[in-house]
Amino acid sequence: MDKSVAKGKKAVVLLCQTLGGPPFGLHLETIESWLNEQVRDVSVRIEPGPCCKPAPSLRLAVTDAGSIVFGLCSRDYPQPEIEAKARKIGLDPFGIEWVHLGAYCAQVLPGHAATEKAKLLLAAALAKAQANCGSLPENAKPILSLDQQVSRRALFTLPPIRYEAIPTVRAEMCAARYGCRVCVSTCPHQALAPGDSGSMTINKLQCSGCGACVSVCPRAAVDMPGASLAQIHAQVASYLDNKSVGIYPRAILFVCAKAVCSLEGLARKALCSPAGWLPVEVPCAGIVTPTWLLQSLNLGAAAATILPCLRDDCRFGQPTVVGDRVQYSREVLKLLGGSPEQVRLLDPGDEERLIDSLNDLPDGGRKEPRRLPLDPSAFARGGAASAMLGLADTYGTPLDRSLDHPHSPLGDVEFRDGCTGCGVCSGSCPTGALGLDRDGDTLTLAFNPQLCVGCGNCVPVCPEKVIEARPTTNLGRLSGGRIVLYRGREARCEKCGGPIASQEMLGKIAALLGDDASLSEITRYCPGCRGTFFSGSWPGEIEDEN
Amino acid sequence: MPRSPLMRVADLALFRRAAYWLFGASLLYPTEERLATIASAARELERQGVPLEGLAFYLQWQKFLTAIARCVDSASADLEETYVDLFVVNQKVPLCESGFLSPGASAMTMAMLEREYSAAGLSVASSFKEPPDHAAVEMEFMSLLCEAEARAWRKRSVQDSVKQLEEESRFLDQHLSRWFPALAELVATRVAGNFYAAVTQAAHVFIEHDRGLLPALLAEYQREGTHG
Repeated sequence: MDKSVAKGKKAVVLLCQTLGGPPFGLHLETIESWLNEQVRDVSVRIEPGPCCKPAPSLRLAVTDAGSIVFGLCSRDYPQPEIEAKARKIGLDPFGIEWVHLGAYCAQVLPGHAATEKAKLLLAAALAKAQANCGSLPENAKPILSLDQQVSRRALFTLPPIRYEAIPTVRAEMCAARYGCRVCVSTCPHQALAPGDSGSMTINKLQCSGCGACVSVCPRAAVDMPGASLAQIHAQVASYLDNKSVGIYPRAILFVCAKAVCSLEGLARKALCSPAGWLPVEVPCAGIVTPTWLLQSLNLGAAAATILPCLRDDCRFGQPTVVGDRVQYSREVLKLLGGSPEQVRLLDPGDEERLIDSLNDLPDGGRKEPRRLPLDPSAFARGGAASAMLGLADTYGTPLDRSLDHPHSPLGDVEFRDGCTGCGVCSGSCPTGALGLDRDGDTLTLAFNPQLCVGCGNCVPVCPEKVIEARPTTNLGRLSGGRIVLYRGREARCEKCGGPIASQEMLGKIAALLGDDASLSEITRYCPGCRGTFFSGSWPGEIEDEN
Repeated sequence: MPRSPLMRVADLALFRRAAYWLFGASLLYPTEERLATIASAARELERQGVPLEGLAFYLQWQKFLTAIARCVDSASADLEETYVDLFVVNQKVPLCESGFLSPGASAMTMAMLEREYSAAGLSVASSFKEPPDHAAVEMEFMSLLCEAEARAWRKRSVQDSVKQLEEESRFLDQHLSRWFPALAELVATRVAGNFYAAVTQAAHVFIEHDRGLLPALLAEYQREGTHG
């Protein structure tokens, strides 16, 4: 299926010219020349933005654009009309980045600081736009908006539909066929279910677009335009990596899209907060996992904080889970020797407390950020281990510490005596943390703690019931490499020499079969050579062939 | 005067009716006469200036219209050859539901569909040589359901409109949406960039869009319809 994305084309930044005058006062030409210097293949235009009052007829004559970033003075703009124009010139509307320069910098910081922060915001938005892999038709959830605000001309013409981005599952990556149900148990709206093809399917009507399934998937198989793991990583890394802007310390503020109005409220009242808070707009606070918070710190942020929407508005519908995740992250930081205050959950309902919290930006973080390759797995659930070990390295934490917590993104597995090396658990492990290897006649079942997400999929499938799994963060296990849980010899087929099963498994089967000689074929031949035991003719056939 | 919400939804239903008809007709054997009819219908739709750029399937729809315009300009014999090669000889790509969902039990699928059509007061014309589970027939059936829906909206009968929407939604879920994506993918792997790749891709995206749109319309109007 074609994804609607234009690769290899120029990125275009459209800066609303209103931002250059009072009350905003950004130095737009400075921003323009800085972006031209810093970013390859970018074209910056300063013109009346769709946010201007009265709104100009937006030309959007950028047919050569691969991606578009709008630098806006306000959030009041006709989004459906702009998206329609984007479609007309062949652009993915979900790939457009909207940067509210008014609320995020121009209205809350003095001229020079605001201009410096605008550079960071726009460069990060460009990085995010360029990391967009395009959307599929399945990503667009139609919403009827019969009372949609459109211009007078458009009222007669636009169909009464707007679109919200929802996730899609990449079938080839999805581990549903192995029994993985992590996304199903996370989604509070029962929008995910295994489909005919064996991978998860998403029910458009039930999906609220919170994106919680995107960040919890152990295989990074869920994608969502605007909030894909690659895009979030690109934006955060750009914020923390940019050394030509002198704003320090830098901190990541994950802002629920519905909570942006809280920041606008502060901006309207000109309530200033430190320039170092760098917003990452997400569809819902429910998408932000401990991995995102801790990986941001690992990449060099002085703090990583969530600004959720008001409780009743929450798309995820489980604000307590968001709180629990923050609590876990704080406990981990304490365990690692950092300050729990580096991770916080802000209160959007109390303006005074909100501004106090923002003004209390912890000092610290790296000026030389930890360079990680632009790999979406850094923000995937599997990136939790690298975040923990990176932070342990930063803080010089002894590696003998551990924390059991239900919201740990990592897990641990232990085997009691009695494993027969059948390997059923490795077949059901969605991340490959449990792996069965063959080396000659030696069978080895090994566990990689860095890959375990504690889903517990392996527990019910074990025929011997010897597995214990739990969500935990154990630095010793994480840093210790692969752990061998079982090693044994594999029995070979007397006819073809192919593998049958481990000696322990065959011993167990032989004990179950007792003295019945006619059934002893099971322990001597592989399934291919053994035939059926019910006709009695196949073993004879084997003898004939011999 | 701006159009009322019901009339705007009726307009949408009429457009959907035309789109399903166009997709269906494009998947039949490409005689010169048929291609001319398809092209003139597409031109008429464009002439009416339906502002489709507001809809998520716009890009694929435009590619579809371009493909129609191009195929009318070129020799229809080339298209006939492609059609035969792709859909007829050895059925490389089956154009029927049973070809994907029940290869060994096509009679059962066809019987089920005939029952569906007959419940709606329709039957496949005896002059029509394709089976009742052919993509063109299923598309035409959807087209007729959309027409009935548009009529109901125009009469301002929310209850009847909802009933039609439920029928459309059920038919899509039970039939077209279960096999058409596989057909589109198969065509794309065999003949990327060709007329039939554009048709099946656009139709697939359109069906996917309808699968989201119909529940949204039902959610908006179902309660109103129940209360009469």
